[in-house]
Amino acid sequence: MIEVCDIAKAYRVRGESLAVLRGTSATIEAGAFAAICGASGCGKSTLLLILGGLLQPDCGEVTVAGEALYALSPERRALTRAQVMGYVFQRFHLIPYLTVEENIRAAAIALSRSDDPARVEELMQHFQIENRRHHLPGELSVGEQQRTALARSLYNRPKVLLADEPTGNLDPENEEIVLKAFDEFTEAGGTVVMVTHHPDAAQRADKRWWIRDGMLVEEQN
Amino acid sequence: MVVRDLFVRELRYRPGGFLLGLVAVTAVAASIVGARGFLAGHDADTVALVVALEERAADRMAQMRDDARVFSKSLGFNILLLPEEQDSGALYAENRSTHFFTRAQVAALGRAKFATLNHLLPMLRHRVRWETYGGDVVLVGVEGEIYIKSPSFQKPIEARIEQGTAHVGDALAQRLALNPGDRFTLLGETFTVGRIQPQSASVDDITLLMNLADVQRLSGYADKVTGILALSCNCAAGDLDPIRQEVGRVLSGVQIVEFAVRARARQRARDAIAESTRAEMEDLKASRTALRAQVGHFATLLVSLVVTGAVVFLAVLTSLGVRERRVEMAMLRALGVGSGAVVGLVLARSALTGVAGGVLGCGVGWMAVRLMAGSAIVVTTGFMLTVVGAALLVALFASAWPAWRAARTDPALILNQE
Ligand SMILES: Nc1ncnc2c1ncn2[C@@H]1O[C@H](COP(=O)(O)OP(=O)(O)OP(=O)(O)O)[C@@H](O)[C@H]1O
Ligand SMILES: [Mg+2]
Repeated sequence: MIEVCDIAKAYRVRGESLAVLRGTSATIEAGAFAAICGASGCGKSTLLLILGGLLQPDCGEVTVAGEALYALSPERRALTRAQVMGYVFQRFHLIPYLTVEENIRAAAIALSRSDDPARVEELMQHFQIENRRHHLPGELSVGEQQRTALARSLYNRPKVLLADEPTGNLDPENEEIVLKAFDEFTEAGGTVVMVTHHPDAAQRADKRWWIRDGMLVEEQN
Repeated sequence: MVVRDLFVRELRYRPGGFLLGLVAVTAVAASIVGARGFLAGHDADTVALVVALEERAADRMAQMRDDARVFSKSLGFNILLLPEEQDSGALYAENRSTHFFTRAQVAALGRAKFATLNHLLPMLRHRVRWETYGGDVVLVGVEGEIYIKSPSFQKPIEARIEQGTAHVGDALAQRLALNPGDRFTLLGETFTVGRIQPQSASVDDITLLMNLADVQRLSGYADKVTGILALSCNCAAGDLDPIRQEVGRVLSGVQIVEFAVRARARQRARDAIAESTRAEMEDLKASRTALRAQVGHFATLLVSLVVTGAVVFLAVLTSLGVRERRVEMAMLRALGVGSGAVVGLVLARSALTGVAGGVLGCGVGWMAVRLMAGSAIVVTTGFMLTVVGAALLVALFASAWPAWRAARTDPALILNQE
């Protein structure tokens, strides 16, 4: 489902090159729940952005659902992302002037498609935010924001869900809600890639990858 | 959900920056419209001042005209052409003409274009006995109009006297209790009183001023005139030689007499008024033009400063706005909103600021002009539309750079770091 082929990425900081990923490859099958682990600053978020088609790698290619992302034009890539992927950011990035309900619907803004009220309703109920539907992000607790971001990422019924530290700031109860959602998503055939440094959360995944010295290393049980 | 919804929601969520920009554009547009109105007001004032000055001059001329109505022998003229043989004693002491110009001579003089003389007016002067009055009266007949002569005013001071009408001297009117419009009989003919001449303590008080043809008929001197009244131009007082030479070339045997100071003084006064009015007018126009230029320059400077300030302010405002919104803009792009649409959101906001501010500013400026300068001053709709258009362009111009930068930043970097 997700194929990472010889990806390298270096950041340029004041003229100096900081190599984060150094030509690493991996394959994540459809229906898998994969966790990406590693020390802070090792490049987990960088990898996830590349998987999500948001960050052009210096070399290599990423294939998601059969589409070689970086062979596409930026517009096509954005469209593919909206159709195939859901992305949950480390800091949620809800649109501050849209209500919970509108934030969820905003996932479809790039797809010229009419709103799906039943889907919004279903997601809000599932994540227990239906009584916050008219609240703006600034009026939500962190857990509620996270659940809204999760609902948004699922709104277009993606095949792949990319989540960056989705449980990072959550209490156990909320963490459980999120992880359960991932379980359900994979059970329904979706693929989850979750970045985390929570050992408990990582244990819920059926595959764990570690980033060490810019390379992806699969954990062998 | 479409991008347009984002625009509206965002505007409602963060009206502050928009309102600040709106106030700035409004102020600029208002100051431009205000300056325009103020300058238009200045121009209108100038016109009003010039008109007032002209009216005042005309008033003074009108007073001179009333003066001139005191027809002395000269009727306001200062030169009299007489046949050489005319007996001065008979004419001046007895108001009796002894010799006349013929019709042909008058025509010859009338045709000539004299450089030294103006407004030639044939006149017949004759004394008759008026039984109703019980004494001798003087008939003076003239034809045509009598002009005030001055460089800029060529108005007739005395309309043509119609046949059958007579302007009556004060003493005659007193004695016979005549009023304007009354009818009276003279030498068997009926005349209508045109005007009663003011008292002058001279022979004018027993003079009837009439149409030349009437006097010629009544006196029995058909086609004859005693002399020709004229105004001399630009001749030094007392120096009649140039006139003599010029007239001599047309007609020989003409004596040229100059009326004394009064007519001359009157003419001088008229010329002086005309001259001073013209000078005053030129002064006024010059000073108003200078003032206008000054005010215009000042307004241009002020408007340029205000516009520059507004551009900088809007640019800073938009930059700050873009900076404040960079995360959500990056998120929108991550959600698949094209960078064109993101730029569109920034520019649309600026465009709205420009148009709304332009319209508001025009309204405010227009009201201010009306309140201060009154309804007479109009700033045209065309001008105000131009201001609105310019406000739109300026607002777009000011936000072009921040919008371009917003489109260029890589959303991934922002989303990972903020
Ligand atoms: N835009 C950038 N410019 C320069 N360096 C960057 C940039 N983004 C990330 N880095 C660097 O790249 C490295 C990897 O960053 P990344 O965000 O992928 O780490 P991470 O594994 O997600 O860390 P964390 O667990 O703390 O979120 C870090 O050392 C970071 O300093
Ligand atoms: Mg990270």
